Amino acid sequence: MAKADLPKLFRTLAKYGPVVAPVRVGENVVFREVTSLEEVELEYTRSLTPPKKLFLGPQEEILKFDGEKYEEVFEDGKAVLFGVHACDINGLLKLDEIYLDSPQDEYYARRRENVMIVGMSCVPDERCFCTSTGSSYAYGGFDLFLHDIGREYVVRVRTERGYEFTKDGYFKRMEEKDFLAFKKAEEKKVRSIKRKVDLAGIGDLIDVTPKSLWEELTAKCLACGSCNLVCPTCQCYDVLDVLELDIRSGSRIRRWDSCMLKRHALVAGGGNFRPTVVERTANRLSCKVGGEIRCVGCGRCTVYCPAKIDLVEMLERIRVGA
Amino acid sequence: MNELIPKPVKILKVKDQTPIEKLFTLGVKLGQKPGQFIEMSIAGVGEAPVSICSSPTRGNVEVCVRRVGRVTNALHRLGAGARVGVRGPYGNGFPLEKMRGSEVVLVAGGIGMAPVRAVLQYLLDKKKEYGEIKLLYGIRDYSMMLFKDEILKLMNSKACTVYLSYEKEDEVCKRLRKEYPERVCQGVVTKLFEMVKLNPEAHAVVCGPPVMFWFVFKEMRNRGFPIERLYMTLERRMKCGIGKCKHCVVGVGSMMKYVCKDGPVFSGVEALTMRGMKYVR
Amino acid sequence: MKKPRVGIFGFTGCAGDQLMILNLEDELLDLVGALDIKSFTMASSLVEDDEYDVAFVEGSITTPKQKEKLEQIRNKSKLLVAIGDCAAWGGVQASCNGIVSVSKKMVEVYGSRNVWEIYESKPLSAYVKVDFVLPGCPIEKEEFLRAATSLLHGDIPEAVDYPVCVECKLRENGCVLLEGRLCLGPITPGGCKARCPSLGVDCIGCRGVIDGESRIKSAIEVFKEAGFEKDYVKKRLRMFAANYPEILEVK
Ligand SMILES: Cc1cc2nc3c(=O)[nH]c(=O)nc-3n(C[C@H](O)[C@H](O)[C@H](O)COP(=O)(O)OP(=O)(O)OC[C@H]3O[C@@H](n4cnc5c(N)ncnc54)[C@H](O)[C@@H]3O)c2cc1C
Ligand code: SF4
Ligand code: SF4
Ligand code: SF4
Ligand code: SF4
Ligand code: FES
Repeated sequence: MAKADLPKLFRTLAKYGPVVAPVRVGENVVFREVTSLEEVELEYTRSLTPPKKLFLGPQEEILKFDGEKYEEVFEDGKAVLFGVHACDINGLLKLDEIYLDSPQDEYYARRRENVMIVGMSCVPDERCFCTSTGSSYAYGGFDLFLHDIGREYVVRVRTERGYEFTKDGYFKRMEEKDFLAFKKAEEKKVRSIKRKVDLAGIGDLIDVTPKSLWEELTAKCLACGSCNLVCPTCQCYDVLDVLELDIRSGSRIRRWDSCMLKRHALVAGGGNFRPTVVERTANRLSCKVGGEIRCVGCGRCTVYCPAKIDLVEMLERIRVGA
Repeated sequence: MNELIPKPVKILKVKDQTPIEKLFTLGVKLGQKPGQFIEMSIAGVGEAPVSICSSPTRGNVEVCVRRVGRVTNALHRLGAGARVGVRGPYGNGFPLEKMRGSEVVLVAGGIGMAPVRAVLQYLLDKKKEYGEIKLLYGIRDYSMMLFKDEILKLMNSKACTVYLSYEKEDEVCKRLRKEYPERVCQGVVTKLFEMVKLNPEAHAVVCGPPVMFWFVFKEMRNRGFPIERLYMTLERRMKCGIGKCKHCVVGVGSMMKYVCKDGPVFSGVEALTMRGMKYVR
Repeated sequence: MKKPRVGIFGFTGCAGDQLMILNLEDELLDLVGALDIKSFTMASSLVEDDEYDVAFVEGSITTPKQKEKLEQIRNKSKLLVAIGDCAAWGGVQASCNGIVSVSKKMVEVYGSRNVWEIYESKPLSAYVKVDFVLPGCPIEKEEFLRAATSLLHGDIPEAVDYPVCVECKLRENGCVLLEGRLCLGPITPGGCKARCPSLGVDCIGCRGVIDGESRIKSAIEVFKEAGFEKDYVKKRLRMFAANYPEILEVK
């Protein structure tokens, strides 16, 4: 489809539900509800917080209570998530493995069903390393994917729901030249991702990394949790009850959590299974790349770390062992 | 079904156990496996994971809870008739099928007696299917003994052999030591192994504070007990109980497990090969 | 049920936290029905035989007389909650602790060394057991209400033990530290919903530090690398949490 027709697609998509898309706010890009295509930042590198927020909210009610009566909080949550990059779509697929695994998380599952996802080509920078994590391309996990090939978009259709939106006249069949342009654009993107990290067997290297190296790697770490809170594959949440002034009703809230924070492994009586940033970082890296690769190479944890701690550099030093 | 919504359940009975522990009988049957736990909710305060300390063969679910923080304190304020929220049962439970036909050694310390009691009740009720039952129980002093009546009765019964260790001597402990010198002693729970003949064909269940577990583990291994026949429970912070919130994860590197889903029961081999399990105060 | 008795007391400070509470009238109306509140701006009017279920205490302790009063309040209250930075950490008036001695301050302010006996400004916990701390300068209205409901329900509230950065991320703020301002957010407990960074200005640390958790040394290193002068960093750290040992030590 021609790029000039994007506003038309946007308008039809908006009929499905509110559109949430990348928007520039100061120096950052965040996913927000938009009403017109003009508000959308079509060419961006990475959003501050990942689009997982639509499925697992930064802070959301999971139930209401009145005395010991518990009631689930249900909203239908129909929406269009527009302009998602391949890394973040892969991030959602990783979260699916957790949240759709039995017993599935009802809130996540419902929203996953009700939110339509429209992917979009990305603009990588020197912090991206998604080719090393196998997430530079989205094979599934979206309804439509718009690949930028210059004047036009190649539109990949992945679901019937997505197909419904491609029936208008401005969608053309792909021709040989489009395939070639698509191939060229994808190759160019992959070539532009210069950052590489070798993850083979890294889990066992994490396991044998001496404490002295951990201490060096984490010397500047502020235990602030930012790295986890911006990560598209972090699954952790904390739960808290909020009582109303009547002292009997209220709601139970869950909130993104981070394993870099004190409370993550704190148990009653003050015991902590991960007392310092050393154990916490070892846990974080194990979780991300220790076994199955759960990192999608988006670079957020590095870009938004107030102490400028670089994940890839840490992994490289762990491989070298010094 | 939404797993995160607790079901309101009535507390049928509350019984003091020690100055800091109470036994709650709940108006619900869950068909749990011994070793499984529930998430107990007090609206406005929060949730806490607690082991079910009764066997499914005995009907209603019972939990024995130590007062340590917000949720557990709030629970201790409640009496019979009040309602609490319950989710579960969760976790794998002890592999009691595997133990069938063999002798079972139960080792408990502190609040670890709660899950062990569930196993014990189960074994006693299915006596014919299992071999001899031994219980090794370590307490600080008599005031801190859980299930006092039951334990004292069992000390006197043939259904199972009870060994008891205590750290501080008081009147009751002294009497017990005089009465059963071959089964009661002063010291930590590992001291009891001097009195017990360990059968390497047996299975063992160990529950207690983390430090105790490692001492027992070492002691039993040194005495030639095969660690693959030993099972223990792990305690970690938990928020969901169903493998989502990842607070309970153990192990570093390529071996990571969820205590709530893959545990809380682990075999001695798993405990030995998993890294980062050390408990730090 | 007997109405829980609540006392609000103030020591050395600006009484800003008490004002904050008294200004909560609309919300408090619901609560007040359930409470019997007594407020003492200048703790001096404490009635000897009054007893309290909860005492909210504001301000830091700077004289022997205050110390005595505080001990009295403690003895007469089931729970004692420190409110505001002064009560929690000693306040701005503690920012010179360990640098300029009290007697020198006296000379500067009053021209004489011994006008009256006076202590270095210390948090309440230096003198009595504190059950819960509501930090901030001033305290957060919502946090106070939440703590009050918890206390009325019979629970000790849950303290915030994660840094402001967490709330920054939950609110999708950009990071002002990365943008070049000295932000104390990483060592300051949240609870304010990242009030300052959300307005694009740096966190000045008015909620103190997270006891035993804040990574002061790492923060100093990070600030240094970001190009901030040592003395400026020290001054900023001392503003609200000078009594925290790791900060008191900073040369
Ligand atoms: C599988 C399992 C079985 C348990 N069985 C029992 C039992 O039978 N009897 C008993 O008395 N205690 C048991 N515990 C420990 C019990 O869960 C904690 O003592 C309890 O969660 C403390 O909650 P609190 O709100 O009172 O304490 P706080 O310190 O106020 O804790 C606040 C929150 O932190 C979390 N938390 C704190 N400590 C623990 C902990 N040790 N384990 C998991 N989460 C924690 C909980 O989510 C809790 O709501 C068990 C723990 C686990 C993991
Ligand atoms: S670990 Fe870092 S690079 Fe990997 S997915 Fe998470 S934020 Fe992105
Ligand atoms: S354990 Fe840490 S790294 Fe893993 S999902 Fe949770 S917060 Fe993220
Ligand atoms: S964002 Fe950086 S400083 Fe903060 S916890 Fe992560 S690694 Fe440490
Ligand atoms: S602006 Fe301050 S509080 Fe917010 S993330 Fe950055 S350092 Fe942390
Ligand atoms: S308790 Fe949430 S994952 Fe185990």
